[in-house]
Amino acid sequence: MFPEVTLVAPTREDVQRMAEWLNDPEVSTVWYGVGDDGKPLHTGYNPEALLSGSQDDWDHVFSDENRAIFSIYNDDGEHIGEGQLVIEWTLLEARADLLVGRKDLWHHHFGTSGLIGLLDHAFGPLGLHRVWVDVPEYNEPGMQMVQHVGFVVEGHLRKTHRKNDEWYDSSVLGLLAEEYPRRRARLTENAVT
Amino acid sequence: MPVITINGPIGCGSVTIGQMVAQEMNLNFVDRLFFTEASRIVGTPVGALIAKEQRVNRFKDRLGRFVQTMLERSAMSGVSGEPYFGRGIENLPPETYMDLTGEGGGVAQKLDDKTFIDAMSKVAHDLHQQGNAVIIGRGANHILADAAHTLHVGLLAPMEIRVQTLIDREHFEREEAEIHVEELERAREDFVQKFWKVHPNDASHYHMVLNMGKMSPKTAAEVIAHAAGDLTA
Repeated sequence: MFPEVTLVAPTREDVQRMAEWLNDPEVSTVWYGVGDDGKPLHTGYNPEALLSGSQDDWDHVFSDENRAIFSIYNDDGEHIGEGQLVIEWTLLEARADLLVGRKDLWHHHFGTSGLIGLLDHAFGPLGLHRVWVDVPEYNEPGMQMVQHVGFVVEGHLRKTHRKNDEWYDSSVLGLLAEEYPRRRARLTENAVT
Repeated sequence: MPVITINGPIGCGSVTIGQMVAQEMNLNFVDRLFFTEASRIVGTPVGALIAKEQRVNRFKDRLGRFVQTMLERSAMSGVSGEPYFGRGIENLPPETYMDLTGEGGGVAQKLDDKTFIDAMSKVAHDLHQQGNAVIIGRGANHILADAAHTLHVGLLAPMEIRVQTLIDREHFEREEAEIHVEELERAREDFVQKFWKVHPNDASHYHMVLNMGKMSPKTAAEVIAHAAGDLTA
Protein backbone atom coordinates (compact mmCIF):
# COMPACT_ATOMS: atom_id res chain seq x y z
CA MET A 1 0.00 0.00 0.00
CA PHE A 2 1.12 3.51 -0.72
CA PRO A 3 1.03 5.97 2.19
CA GLU A 4 -2.01 8.18 2.44
CA VAL A 5 -1.45 11.82 1.59
CA THR A 6 -3.68 14.85 1.25
CA LEU A 7 -3.19 17.80 -1.06
CA VAL A 8 -4.31 21.12 0.40
CA ALA A 9 -3.83 24.84 -0.18
CA PRO A 10 -0.51 26.02 1.31
CA THR A 11 -0.46 28.05 4.51
CA ARG A 12 2.20 30.58 5.56
CA GLU A 13 3.61 27.93 7.90
CA ASP A 14 3.92 25.55 4.95
CA VAL A 15 5.79 28.13 2.90
CA GLN A 16 8.07 28.76 5.87
CA ARG A 17 8.85 25.03 5.98
CA MET A 18 9.48 25.02 2.22
CA ALA A 19 12.04 27.78 2.75
CA GLU A 20 13.73 25.74 5.48
CA TRP A 21 13.77 22.56 3.42
CA LEU A 22 15.19 24.33 0.39
CA ASN A 23 17.96 25.82 2.49
CA ASP A 24 19.18 22.27 3.06
CA PRO A 25 21.70 21.62 0.24
CA GLU A 26 20.74 17.96 0.16
CA VAL A 27 17.16 18.97 -0.68
CA SER A 28 17.95 21.81 -3.08
CA THR A 29 20.36 19.54 -4.96
CA VAL A 30 17.55 17.21 -6.04
CA TRP A 31 15.29 20.18 -6.76
CA TYR A 32 16.31 23.23 -8.81
CA GLY A 33 19.71 23.74 -7.18
CA VAL A 34 20.94 27.22 -6.29
CA GLY A 35 21.13 30.45 -8.26
CA ASP A 36 24.17 32.58 -8.99
CA ASP A 37 23.68 34.22 -5.59
CA GLY A 38 23.98 30.84 -3.91
CA LYS A 39 20.36 30.88 -2.77
CA PRO A 40 18.12 27.86 -3.42
CA LEU A 41 15.85 28.05 -6.43
CA HIS A 42 12.19 27.19 -6.38
CA THR A 43 9.55 27.12 -9.08
CA GLY A 44 6.65 29.56 -9.18
CA TYR A 45 7.60 31.65 -6.19
CA ASN A 46 10.44 32.48 -3.83
CA PRO A 47 9.38 31.24 -0.37
CA GLU A 48 11.39 33.77 1.63
CA ALA A 49 10.33 36.70 -0.56
CA LEU A 50 6.72 35.62 -0.41
CA LEU A 51 6.74 35.41 3.39
CA SER A 52 7.96 38.96 3.63
CA GLY A 53 5.66 40.18 0.87
CA SER A 54 2.13 41.52 0.84
CA GLN A 55 -1.20 39.72 0.79
CA ASP A 56 -1.49 40.73 -2.87
CA ASP A 57 1.77 38.91 -3.59
CA TRP A 58 0.41 35.85 -1.81
CA ASP A 59 -2.87 35.96 -3.70
CA HIS A 60 -1.04 36.44 -6.98
CA VAL A 61 0.93 33.23 -6.45
CA PHE A 62 -1.77 31.01 -5.01
CA SER A 63 -4.70 32.24 -7.10
CA ASP A 64 -2.92 31.85 -10.42
CA GLU A 65 -5.19 29.83 -12.71
CA ASN A 66 -2.15 28.69 -14.67
CA ARG A 67 -0.41 27.16 -11.66
CA ALA A 68 -2.00 24.92 -9.05
CA ILE A 69 0.15 24.68 -5.92
CA PHE A 70 -0.57 22.19 -3.15
CA SER A 71 0.97 21.36 0.17
CA ILE A 72 1.27 17.63 0.73
CA TYR A 73 0.30 16.28 4.15
CA ASN A 74 0.66 12.75 5.46
CA ASP A 75 -2.05 10.96 7.41
CA ASP A 76 -0.53 12.15 10.68
CA GLY A 77 -1.40 15.66 9.58
CA GLU A 78 2.22 16.61 8.99
CA HIS A 79 3.32 18.83 6.14
CA ILE A 80 5.82 16.79 4.11
CA GLY A 81 6.21 18.50 0.75
CA GLU A 82 4.74 20.41 -2.15
CA GLY A 83 3.30 19.59 -5.55
CA GLN A 84 2.61 21.92 -8.46
CA LEU A 85 0.86 21.75 -11.81
CA VAL A 86 2.01 24.40 -14.28
CA ILE A 87 -0.88 24.48 -16.69
CA GLU A 88 -1.10 25.41 -20.38
CA TRP A 89 -4.81 25.62 -20.92
CA THR A 90 -4.60 25.96 -24.69
CA LEU A 91 -2.93 22.58 -24.90
CA LEU A 92 -4.85 21.10 -21.95
CA GLU A 93 -1.59 19.99 -20.40
CA ALA A 94 0.51 20.65 -17.33
CA ARG A 95 4.02 20.13 -16.10
CA ALA A 96 4.07 18.41 -12.72
CA ASP A 97 6.64 19.27 -10.06
CA LEU A 98 6.80 17.49 -6.75
CA LEU A 99 9.14 17.80 -3.79
CA VAL A 100 9.11 15.77 -0.61
CA GLY A 101 10.91 18.13 1.71
CA ARG A 102 11.07 15.76 4.68
CA LYS A 103 14.27 13.82 4.01
CA ASP A 104 13.35 11.14 6.56
CA LEU A 105 10.39 10.27 4.31
CA TRP A 106 12.37 9.91 1.09
CA HIS A 107 12.16 6.47 -0.54
CA HIS A 108 8.96 5.64 1.35
CA HIS A 109 6.61 6.21 -1.61
CA PHE A 110 5.29 9.56 -0.39
CA GLY A 111 6.37 11.04 -3.72
CA THR A 112 4.37 8.39 -5.57
CA SER A 113 1.30 9.10 -3.44
CA GLY A 114 1.69 12.84 -3.95
CA LEU A 115 2.09 12.41 -7.69
CA ILE A 116 -1.02 10.24 -7.88
CA GLY A 117 -2.86 13.01 -6.03
CA LEU A 118 -1.65 15.58 -8.54
CA LEU A 119 -2.62 13.36 -11.47
CA ASP A 120 -6.05 12.67 -10.01
CA HIS A 121 -6.57 16.42 -9.80
CA ALA A 122 -5.17 17.08 -13.28
CA PHE A 123 -7.19 14.43 -15.09
CA GLY A 124 -10.22 14.77 -12.83
CA PRO A 125 -11.43 18.24 -11.83
CA LEU A 126 -9.08 20.11 -14.16
CA GLY A 127 -9.91 17.91 -17.15
CA LEU A 128 -6.42 18.05 -18.60
CA HIS A 129 -5.27 15.81 -21.44
CA ARG A 130 -1.56 15.43 -20.72
CA VAL A 131 0.71 15.79 -17.72
CA TRP A 132 4.45 15.78 -18.25
CA VAL A 133 7.59 15.88 -16.21
CA ASP A 134 11.15 16.84 -17.03
CA VAL A 135 13.61 14.70 -15.09
CA PRO A 136 17.32 15.48 -15.12
CA GLU A 137 19.64 12.50 -15.32
CA TYR A 138 21.00 13.05 -11.84
CA ASN A 139 17.56 12.49 -10.31
CA GLU A 140 17.46 8.71 -10.67
CA PRO A 141 14.92 8.15 -7.85
CA GLY A 142 12.63 10.67 -9.52
CA MET A 143 12.98 8.88 -12.85
CA GLN A 144 12.15 5.53 -11.29
CA MET A 145 9.15 7.00 -9.52
CA VAL A 146 7.53 8.60 -12.56
CA GLN A 147 8.09 5.49 -14.68
CA HIS A 148 6.62 3.39 -11.89
CA VAL A 149 3.55 5.62 -11.93
CA GLY A 150 3.23 5.01 -15.67
CA PHE A 151 4.78 8.00 -17.38
CA VAL A 152 6.20 7.22 -20.82
CA VAL A 153 9.55 8.50 -22.04
CA GLU A 154 8.61 10.88 -24.85
CA GLY A 155 12.09 12.14 -25.44
CA HIS A 156 15.57 12.27 -24.03
CA LEU A 157 17.49 15.46 -24.64
CA ARG A 158 21.22 15.99 -24.26
CA LYS A 159 22.73 18.65 -22.04
CA THR A 160 19.60 20.61 -21.18
CA HIS A 161 20.04 21.05 -17.42
CA ARG A 162 22.83 23.15 -15.97
CA LYS A 163 23.86 22.51 -12.41
CA ASN A 164 27.06 23.50 -10.64
CA ASP A 165 28.58 24.64 -13.95
CA GLU A 166 27.95 21.31 -15.64
CA TRP A 167 25.37 20.32 -18.21
CA TYR A 168 23.20 17.26 -17.72
CA ASP A 169 20.79 15.32 -19.93
CA SER A 170 17.11 15.17 -19.13
CA SER A 171 14.13 13.06 -20.08
CA VAL A 172 10.66 14.32 -20.84
CA LEU A 173 8.02 11.84 -19.78
CA GLY A 174 4.33 12.21 -20.39
CA LEU A 175 1.07 10.63 -19.38
CA LEU A 176 -2.19 11.07 -21.27
CA ALA A 177 -5.64 11.13 -19.72
CA GLU A 178 -6.62 8.03 -21.66
CA GLU A 179 -3.56 6.15 -20.39
CA TYR A 180 -3.96 7.10 -16.76
CA PRO A 181 -6.89 4.96 -15.54
CA ARG A 182 -5.28 1.67 -16.62
CA ARG A 183 -1.90 2.59 -15.16
CA ARG A 184 -3.36 3.94 -11.95
CA ALA A 185 -5.38 0.76 -11.50
CA ARG A 186 -2.30 -1.39 -12.11
CA LEU A 187 -0.26 0.68 -9.67
CA THR A 188 -2.74 0.47 -6.83
CA GLU A 189 -3.45 -3.20 -7.57
CA ASN A 190 0.24 -4.05 -7.33
CA ALA A 191 0.57 -2.01 -4.17
CA VAL A 192 -2.15 -4.00 -2.47
CA THR A 193 -0.79 -7.45 -3.40
CA MET B 1 25.21 15.47 -37.31
CA PRO B 2 23.37 12.23 -37.99
CA VAL B 3 19.61 11.98 -37.85
CA ILE B 4 18.15 8.49 -37.65
CA THR B 5 14.49 7.73 -38.19
CA ILE B 6 13.15 4.40 -36.95
CA ASN B 7 9.76 3.18 -38.06
CA GLY B 8 7.91 0.01 -37.30
CA PRO B 9 4.60 -1.37 -36.17
CA ILE B 10 3.72 -1.12 -32.50
CA GLY B 11 5.48 -3.69 -30.35
CA CYS B 12 8.41 -4.33 -32.66
CA GLY B 13 10.87 -2.54 -30.40
CA SER B 14 11.32 0.84 -32.10
CA VAL B 15 11.39 2.71 -28.81
CA THR B 16 13.79 0.35 -27.05
CA ILE B 17 16.13 0.22 -30.02
CA GLY B 18 15.88 3.96 -30.58
CA GLN B 19 16.86 4.64 -26.96
CA MET B 20 19.80 2.23 -27.27
CA VAL B 21 21.04 3.91 -30.44
CA ALA B 22 20.63 7.38 -28.92
CA GLN B 23 22.55 6.29 -25.84
CA GLU B 24 25.28 4.62 -27.87
CA MET B 25 25.75 7.56 -30.23
CA ASN B 26 25.05 10.32 -27.72
CA LEU B 27 22.04 11.60 -29.69
CA ASN B 28 18.76 13.16 -28.65
CA PHE B 29 15.87 10.71 -28.58
CA VAL B 30 12.52 11.96 -29.84
CA ASP B 31 9.43 9.80 -29.58
CA ARG B 32 6.04 11.28 -28.60
CA LEU B 33 7.82 14.55 -28.00
CA PHE B 34 7.50 14.96 -31.77
CA PHE B 35 3.74 15.29 -31.37
CA THR B 36 3.93 17.51 -28.32
CA GLU B 37 6.17 19.91 -30.24
CA ALA B 38 3.75 19.88 -33.18
CA SER B 39 0.84 20.48 -30.82
CA ARG B 40 2.53 23.68 -29.63
CA ILE B 41 2.84 24.88 -33.20
CA VAL B 42 -0.80 24.14 -33.91
CA GLY B 43 -1.95 25.32 -30.48
CA THR B 44 -4.11 22.30 -29.84
CA PRO B 45 -3.92 19.43 -27.34
CA VAL B 46 -1.59 16.64 -28.36
CA GLY B 47 -4.52 14.21 -28.52
CA ALA B 48 -5.74 15.89 -31.69
CA LEU B 49 -2.45 15.00 -33.41
CA ILE B 50 -2.27 11.50 -32.00
CA ALA B 51 -5.80 10.96 -33.26
CA LYS B 52 -4.61 11.81 -36.76
CA GLU B 53 -2.04 9.05 -36.61
CA GLN B 54 -3.86 6.41 -34.64
CA ARG B 55 -7.54 6.79 -35.31
CA VAL B 56 -7.83 7.14 -39.06
CA ASN B 57 -8.56 3.51 -39.57
CA ARG B 58 -10.73 3.19 -36.52
CA PHE B 59 -13.07 5.65 -38.14
CA LYS B 60 -13.14 3.53 -41.27
CA ASP B 61 -13.62 0.41 -39.18
CA ARG B 62 -16.58 1.99 -37.46
CA LEU B 63 -17.96 3.07 -40.78
CA GLY B 64 -17.46 -0.45 -42.09
CA ARG B 65 -19.12 -2.00 -39.06
CA PHE B 66 -21.91 0.54 -39.28
CA VAL B 67 -22.58 -0.31 -42.91
CA GLN B 68 -22.35 -4.00 -42.14
CA THR B 69 -24.80 -3.68 -39.27
CA MET B 70 -27.22 -1.75 -41.41
CA LEU B 71 -27.03 -4.33 -44.17
CA GLU B 72 -27.62 -7.14 -41.69
CA ARG B 73 -30.54 -5.33 -40.07
CA SER B 74 -32.01 -4.55 -43.46
CA ALA B 75 -31.66 -8.16 -44.51
CA MET B 76 -33.23 -9.42 -41.29
CA SER B 77 -36.14 -7.05 -41.49
CA GLY B 78 -36.60 -7.57 -45.18
CA VAL B 79 -35.91 -3.94 -45.90
CA SER B 80 -33.63 -3.18 -48.76
CA GLY B 81 -32.10 0.05 -49.86
CA GLU B 82 -29.36 2.45 -49.01
CA PRO B 83 -27.83 1.31 -45.71
CA TYR B 84 -26.81 4.76 -44.48
CA PHE B 85 -30.21 6.35 -44.56
CA GLY B 86 -32.45 3.37 -44.73
CA ARG B 87 -34.64 2.07 -41.97
CA GLY B 88 -32.82 0.90 -38.90
CA ILE B 89 -30.60 3.90 -38.47
CA GLU B 90 -32.87 5.19 -35.71
CA ASN B 91 -31.76 2.23 -33.61
CA LEU B 92 -28.26 3.60 -33.27
CA PRO B 93 -27.45 5.67 -30.22
CA PRO B 94 -26.75 9.33 -30.98
CA GLU B 95 -23.09 9.11 -29.91
CA THR B 96 -22.48 6.70 -32.76
CA TYR B 97 -23.23 9.46 -35.23
CA MET B 98 -20.77 11.72 -33.47
CA ASP B 99 -18.12 9.02 -33.55
CA LEU B 100 -18.74 8.43 -37.21
CA THR B 101 -18.52 12.07 -38.14
CA GLY B 102 -15.59 12.69 -35.83
CA GLU B 103 -17.54 15.35 -33.98
CA GLY B 104 -17.47 13.70 -30.61
CA GLY B 105 -15.67 16.65 -29.06
CA GLY B 106 -12.99 16.20 -26.44
CA VAL B 107 -9.33 16.56 -27.21
CA ALA B 108 -9.53 14.57 -30.43
CA GLN B 109 -10.99 17.61 -32.07
CA LYS B 110 -10.82 17.98 -35.80
CA LEU B 111 -7.54 19.18 -37.17
CA ASP B 112 -7.32 19.77 -40.87
CA ASP B 113 -4.77 17.75 -42.79
CA LYS B 114 -2.74 20.69 -44.05
CA THR B 115 -2.32 22.23 -40.60
CA PHE B 116 -1.38 18.82 -39.24
CA ILE B 117 1.18 17.94 -41.89
CA ASP B 118 2.66 21.46 -41.91
CA ALA B 119 3.26 21.24 -38.18
CA MET B 120 4.68 17.74 -38.42
CA SER B 121 6.98 18.79 -41.26
CA LYS B 122 8.20 21.80 -39.33
CA VAL B 123 9.08 19.67 -36.31
CA ALA B 124 10.88 17.11 -38.49
CA HIS B 125 12.85 19.74 -40.38
CA ASP B 126 13.73 21.60 -37.17
CA LEU B 127 15.01 18.37 -35.66
CA HIS B 128 16.96 17.64 -38.81
CA GLN B 129 18.47 21.09 -38.81
CA GLN B 130 19.58 20.67 -35.20
CA GLY B 131 20.93 17.21 -36.05
CA ASN B 132 22.04 14.47 -33.67
CA ALA B 133 18.67 12.88 -33.13
CA VAL B 134 16.89 9.57 -33.25
CA ILE B 135 13.27 10.09 -34.28
CA ILE B 136 10.67 7.39 -33.74
CA GLY B 137 7.91 7.09 -36.35
CA ARG B 138 5.48 9.91 -37.12
CA GLY B 139 6.25 9.68 -40.83
CA ALA B 140 9.61 11.34 -40.27
CA ASN B 141 11.25 9.07 -42.84
CA HIS B 142 8.87 10.41 -45.49
CA ILE B 143 9.14 14.04 -44.44
CA LEU B 144 12.93 13.76 -44.42
CA ALA B 145 13.07 11.28 -47.31
CA ASP B 146 15.95 12.93 -49.14
CA ALA B 147 17.47 14.91 -46.30
CA ALA B 148 21.25 14.83 -45.99
CA HIS B 149 23.03 12.91 -43.22
CA THR B 150 19.88 10.97 -42.45
CA LEU B 151 19.45 7.23 -42.05
CA HIS B 152 16.00 5.71 -42.36
CA VAL B 153 15.48 2.37 -40.64
CA GLY B 154 12.41 0.19 -40.91
CA LEU B 155 11.58 -2.55 -38.44
CA LEU B 156 9.43 -5.63 -38.82
CA ALA B 157 8.45 -8.23 -36.27
CA PRO B 158 6.13 -11.23 -36.17
CA MET B 159 2.72 -10.67 -34.66
CA GLU B 160 3.53 -12.85 -31.64
CA ILE B 161 6.49 -10.70 -30.62
CA ARG B 162 4.48 -7.51 -30.98
CA VAL B 163 1.58 -8.89 -28.97
CA GLN B 164 3.93 -10.08 -26.23
CA THR B 165 5.50 -6.63 -26.07
CA LEU B 166 2.09 -5.11 -25.43
CA ILE B 167 1.27 -7.72 -22.79
CA ASP B 168 4.55 -7.05 -21.00
CA ARG B 169 4.42 -3.28 -21.31
CA GLU B 170 0.75 -2.49 -20.87
CA HIS B 171 -0.37 -5.63 -19.02
CA PHE B 172 -3.04 -6.24 -21.64
CA GLU B 173 -4.83 -9.56 -21.81
CA ARG B 174 -3.70 -11.50 -24.90
CA GLU B 175 -6.87 -10.93 -26.88
CA GLU B 176 -6.89 -7.26 -25.99
CA ALA B 177 -3.24 -6.97 -27.06
CA GLU B 178 -3.94 -8.68 -30.38
CA ILE B 179 -6.79 -6.31 -31.12
CA HIS B 180 -4.69 -3.30 -30.13
CA VAL B 181 -1.76 -4.38 -32.30
CA GLU B 182 -3.99 -5.03 -35.30
CA GLU B 183 -5.90 -1.77 -34.91
CA LEU B 184 -2.79 0.35 -34.54
CA GLU B 185 -1.12 -1.34 -37.47
CA ARG B 186 -4.10 -0.63 -39.68
CA ALA B 187 -4.13 2.94 -38.43
CA ARG B 188 -0.42 3.24 -39.19
CA GLU B 189 -0.95 1.92 -42.69
CA ASP B 190 -3.81 4.36 -43.22
CA PHE B 191 -1.79 7.25 -41.84
CA VAL B 192 1.16 6.69 -44.17
CA GLN B 193 -1.07 5.86 -47.12
CA LYS B 194 -3.16 8.98 -46.58
CA PHE B 195 -0.30 11.44 -46.36
CA TRP B 196 2.42 9.83 -48.48
CA LYS B 197 0.52 7.37 -50.67
CA VAL B 198 2.79 4.45 -49.81
CA HIS B 199 2.76 1.41 -47.55
CA PRO B 200 4.79 1.89 -44.35
CA ASN B 201 6.50 -1.49 -44.74
CA ASP B 202 7.67 -0.79 -48.31
CA ALA B 203 11.44 -1.36 -48.01
CA SER B 204 12.23 1.15 -50.75
CA HIS B 205 11.57 3.98 -48.26
CA TYR B 206 14.33 2.89 -45.91
CA HIS B 207 18.09 2.48 -46.03
CA MET B 208 17.53 -0.85 -44.33
CA VAL B 209 14.78 -2.96 -42.82
CA LEU B 210 15.52 -5.17 -39.81
CA ASN B 211 13.50 -8.22 -38.87
CA MET B 212 13.14 -8.19 -35.11
CA GLY B 213 12.01 -11.79 -35.19
CA LYS B 214 15.57 -12.68 -36.16
CA MET B 215 17.74 -10.47 -33.97
CA SER B 216 17.86 -8.95 -30.52
CA PRO B 217 17.23 -5.24 -29.90
CA LYS B 218 20.87 -4.91 -28.86
CA THR B 219 22.12 -6.31 -32.16
CA ALA B 220 19.71 -4.12 -34.10
CA ALA B 221 20.94 -1.05 -32.21
CA GLU B 222 24.55 -1.95 -32.99
CA VAL B 223 23.76 -2.45 -36.68
CA ILE B 224 21.99 0.91 -36.85
CA ALA B 225 24.76 2.72 -34.99
CA HIS B 226 27.32 1.18 -37.32
CA ALA B 227 25.37 2.21 -40.41
CA ALA B 228 24.82 5.71 -39.03
CA GLY B 229 28.54 5.99 -38.48
CA ASP B 230 28.92 6.22 -42.24
CA LEU B 231 26.84 9.40 -42.19
CA THR B 232 29.39 11.15 -40.06
CA ALA B 233 32.43 9.77 -41.87
